[in-house]
Order: sequence, then C-alpha cells, then structure tokens
Amino acid sequence: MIDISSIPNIPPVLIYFAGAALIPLLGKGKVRKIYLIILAALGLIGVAVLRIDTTWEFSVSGFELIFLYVDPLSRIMGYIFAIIGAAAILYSLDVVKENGEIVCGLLYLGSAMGAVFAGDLFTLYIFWEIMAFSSLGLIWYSRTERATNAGMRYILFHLFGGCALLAGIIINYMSTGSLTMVPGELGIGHFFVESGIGYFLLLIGIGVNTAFILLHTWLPDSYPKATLAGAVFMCVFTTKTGVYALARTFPGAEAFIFGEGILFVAYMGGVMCVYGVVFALLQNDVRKLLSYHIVSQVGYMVAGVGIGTYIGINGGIAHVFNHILYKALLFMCMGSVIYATGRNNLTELGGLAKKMPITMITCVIAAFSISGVPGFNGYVSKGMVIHAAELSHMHILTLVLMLGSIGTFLSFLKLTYFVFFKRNDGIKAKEAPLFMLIPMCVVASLCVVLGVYPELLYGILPYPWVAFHYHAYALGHTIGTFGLLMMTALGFFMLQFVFSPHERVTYDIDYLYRKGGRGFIWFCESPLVSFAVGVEKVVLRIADSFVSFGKNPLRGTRVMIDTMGVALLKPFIFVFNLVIHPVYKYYERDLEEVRMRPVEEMEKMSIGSGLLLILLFFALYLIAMLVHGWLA
Amino acid sequence: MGFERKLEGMLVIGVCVGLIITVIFVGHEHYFLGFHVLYGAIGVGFFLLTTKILSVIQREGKQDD
Repeated sequence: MIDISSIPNIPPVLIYFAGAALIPLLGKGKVRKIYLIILAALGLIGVAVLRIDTTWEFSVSGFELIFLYVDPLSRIMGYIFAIIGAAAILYSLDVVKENGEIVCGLLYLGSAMGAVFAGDLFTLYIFWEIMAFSSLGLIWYSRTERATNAGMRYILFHLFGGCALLAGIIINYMSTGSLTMVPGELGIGHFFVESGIGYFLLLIGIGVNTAFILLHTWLPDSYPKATLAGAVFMCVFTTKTGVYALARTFPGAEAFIFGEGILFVAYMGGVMCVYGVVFALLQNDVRKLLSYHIVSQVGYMVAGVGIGTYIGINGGIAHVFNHILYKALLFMCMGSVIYATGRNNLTELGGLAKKMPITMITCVIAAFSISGVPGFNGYVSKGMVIHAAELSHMHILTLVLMLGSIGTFLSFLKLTYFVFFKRNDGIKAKEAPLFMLIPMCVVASLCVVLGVYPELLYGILPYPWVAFHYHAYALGHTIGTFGLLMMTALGFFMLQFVFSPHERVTYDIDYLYRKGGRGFIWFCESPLVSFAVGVEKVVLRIADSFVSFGKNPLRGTRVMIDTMGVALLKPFIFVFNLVIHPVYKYYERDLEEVRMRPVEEMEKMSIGSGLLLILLFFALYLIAMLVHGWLA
Repeated sequence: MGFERKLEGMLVIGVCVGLIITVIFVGHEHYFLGFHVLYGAIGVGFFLLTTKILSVIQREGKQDD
C-alpha cells in the first residue's frame, strides 16, 4: 500500500512545464506518444497527492509570493484540469503532427494549473499572461490567414485584460497592502478587495477571461479557428480560470444602483446565459456554435458565484467541473467529425450516425449533459445554480437561467440532428482513430457517472456539507425538468424549418469593435502621420537654421536682423509709405543678397582659444556684477 | 381604419404578453402543475422570435471574418 502523504507535494505547473521542455528532444514517433501518456499520468498523480493547506512560499524583493496554495477550491480545479488535460493529451496523439503545438498545449495546461494554485495575485497574473501567449500558439498552428488574424485579435483582447488585471492588482495592493489570495476564516473569496477603480479594473481583467458580455468577442472569434486538438485545450482553461478568479475575488459582489445593492455579477451571468444561446442558435459552423455555448454555460457559473451563497458557489464550481467534461467532449466529437469529413458547417454535414457510431453516442451524451437532461452531470450542477437563485429569491434570474436551458436544448437538438441524423448520402467518412475515441469514451462515462451518482462530486466541492443537503433528483424538480425539455423538443421538431442552419454571416458586437479599430488605424495612418510629417519639417528647418548659424554666425545674425526688419516693417508700409518703404526695401534687398551668397565658413578657433574667450567673457561678467554690487 | 386595426392588434399582443409574464411569475412562485411545460413552450417562442429578429442583422454568405 502506497502512503500518499509520503509523496512530496510538487506544484503541478512544474510537471507540465518540465514535460514541455523535453518534447523537442523526442522527435515525432512512438517515443513521443509513450512520453506524453506518461506525462498525462504524472500530471494526474501530481494533483491527486496534493494535500489541503500545502503552501510553497518565497520572498522576492520583500514581497511574499505563494507559488502553491491548496484549498478545496484550488484542489477541485486542479483535479478537473488534470483529468481533462490528460484526455486532451491523449486526443492529440494522432491529430497533432508538430511538436510546437504540443509544447503550447502543455504550457497552457501548466500555466492554468499555476494560476489556480497561485496563493497571491501577482503569481496569478504571471500565469494568466503565460496562458494567453501559449494558447495563442494553439490558434496560430492552424497556419491559415483566418487563424493568424483571429490570433492577433485574441492576443490584443487578452493583453488589454492583462493590463487591467495588473493595474487592478497594483491599485488594490497600494490601498490594502496585501497581495494574498489565501482566504481568511470566513471562507473562499472573503479576502479584502477595496472598492474603487482598483476593484473595477480587477473585475474587467477577470471579465475578459470569463467572457463577460461586451468582453466576450475573442471567444467565438478564435476558438473555431484553433487546431482540432488546440480547441479541446482552449475550451477548458481560459474561461474556467476566469471563473475561479471570480470565485476568489468577487463572490456575491454588489453594485449600488439607485442606492440599492444589486448582485450585478450574478445578473451578468444571466445575461451571458441567454446571449450565448441566442447567438449559438444562429451559427452554421459547429465549433462556433460550441464557442457561443461556452459563453452561455460560463453564464451559469458566473451566476452561481455571483449569488455568493454557499450553495451558489458550490453550484458554480460544480458547473465548472461538469462543463469542462462535456464541453471538452463536444469539441472532441466535433474535432473527430471535422477530421473524418473535412467539413465544419452544419449545412454540409449529416448522415454520420451510422458511419461514426461511437462519436455519435458520445456526442449525444455530451449534448444531454449540457442541456441538463436528468441522469447526466449537467442536470445536477445547473439545477444547483438555479436552486441557489431560487433560495436567494432572485426570481428573474431563476427564469432567465431556465430560459437558457431551453435554448441550450434547442441548440443541441439542432447540432446532433444536422450532424448525425439528417439524411446526407453524399458524405464519406469513417470512425475517428482509436486515440481520439479513448478519451471521448472515458469523458462520456464520467458525464454519466457524475449524473447518476452526484455525491462523488459533492465530496470535493468547496462546501461539501452544504452540497450533500441538495437533492438533485427531488421528484418535482426532475419531472419539471423533463416537462420543460419535452416541450422544447416538441417545439424544435414542429419548427425545424426555422431553426435549420443557413449559410449566413452573423454580426456580433465585435462588428462595432472592428469598425472602431479600422477607424483608429485610419486616424493613425492619415491625419496623425500628416501631422507628424509637418512637425518633422518644422524641426528640420529649425535645425538647418541652427547649422547655418553655427557655420557663420555673422551671416546668421545678418539674416536674422534682415528677416526681423522685413517682418516688422511690412505691416506699416501702406501707412507710412514715404519713410518706411526705403528702409523696408533695404532689408529686403540685403536679405536676398545674403541668401544668394553661399555660406562661407568662418575661420575656426582652436578649443583652447574658444575656452579662453569664454573665460574672458565670464570674467567681464563677474566684474560687471561686482561693480554693479558696489554701485548699489 | 388600418391604423385602428394595427393599434387593436398591438393592444391584444400587449395584453397577452402581460398575461404570460403574470402567469410565469405567479406560476414560478407556486409551481402549479404544468408550469414547466408552459414555460418550455414560451421559451421556444422566445427563441423563435429572437432568431427571427436577429436574422435581420445577418447577411448571406459563408461564416467568415
């Protein structure tokens, strides 16, 4: 029997980073495959042995940084990241050809681990930025122009979010004197964030990663353009790390509107939930549809965390856990479909149920899970969040979240029907390779196991004693959910022609951002450049005159006097013509004459003579001052 | 005459929406039998309407940038 407590607690980030460093030495053959399988297993073991309250602290320039902090919240995040990281690594084995892509995936996974096990805001920020840059690689490895452009937009958004987060951290540090994220006795998230601009910037920084509405556009823009395996990695870490950071910093955060405290984070979750679903329903690209569903599902998590009660936080974090499972599974299934058919639009797909039966079954399981069908994991956590809203008497939020369920089911009826069941004889495909199917089947079984036996999940939630009081399969709730979903299914099949996919381009709010961006680039390229050229010309002319003056100060002085004379006398010519005109003409002629002549350099003095002259003038100046003093 | 008819239609729709909202809220408070079924139907209607409205800001062509 192995004594787990005897195994040292190593930050999981080190396992993945060290693993990524060795990849380039292994080539692309079987050795790499075996190595990656071992690395995935090591990552799982590394997280499994972590003990609660373990810390790795060190001091940098007087700042106490906590590289590893384990509590129930970070531990559950670590568990699910390690599980799905292992599944994504397995899925990559046959799909990924380039070592660089695997390295990016591992760095991304490692930095996400680093972020959730960070015990202070600065360490969190460092890993936050590594996540952004490593995930960019997963988009750019698609090696298409669309992916390159989407990657640029992605990193710009994340740099903006990162800057906001860093500014928020600094301002918060200046006002509270603390960087720690270690919760006090009150529990998770109850550490001090002082309200004000720092608070707002922290929220914006976290909001970018969590895909708050108006800050969400990077997500449906970039995920569909990532590589097949890259999308599986990406759908897991960025947004969920955002939810984790939100749970640490803003659970139950209130905004005072008209003097009344409103749980605005919770309501933001409600808006995300419906907004994501509505746009998902309009999509034709399967991975774009799934990307909008991430926005929607993250809405449930944000709502749970935003409600801020024990059951709310439990629900939000349980939904993070379950969502990662079924969303990664959905991306794996659609990756398999694209891999097998080379098509990614619903209008081009169909009839794959018999050709890809395992993919179809796992996809249906994932679709049932995300839709919250009883018996699958999504039902449990979604129900917990809705129950939390009910208990907090947030009726509008409850109804909005239920509406989100309806839209989600509609959307996944559409996805599964048009990919697998709609007749399409012209499509040729065969089942995905074994290494793609294994992680899909494992993750699908986890979706079912956690749906049938949710107590497995309750035990590792941040507040397990509260979770065990929640009865997911209460008769009224289960029957009600069935009623809701049956009615939705009926509506879908009756109105199929309305929800059927079309080859259309959908505009989201990023249309305005792109317009604004183009306007900004035009402003930089046209008026701003013209202004810069004008300033440059003026500066060059001034420099030229200084050079000319330096070459021959006598000539320069004469030019100056003539120019001033011309400028000063010109306005008075018409008034005092007889007197002024000859003088004006003299200056004008003299100026022309001087300018016509080439600049003759004056005889240069040696440096010593120049210094002597300066000292002489200085001595005269001192004598004058002395005499002036005596006279005074 | 046409305008009066339109006004009448809008009034009827307004009353219906009001009734539906009342039913949803009262139903949600008391969870009467069949509330979820009714809400499911209303939800499908909501998404039907929203997708129809949003199709106005779509344009024909392949989804791209």
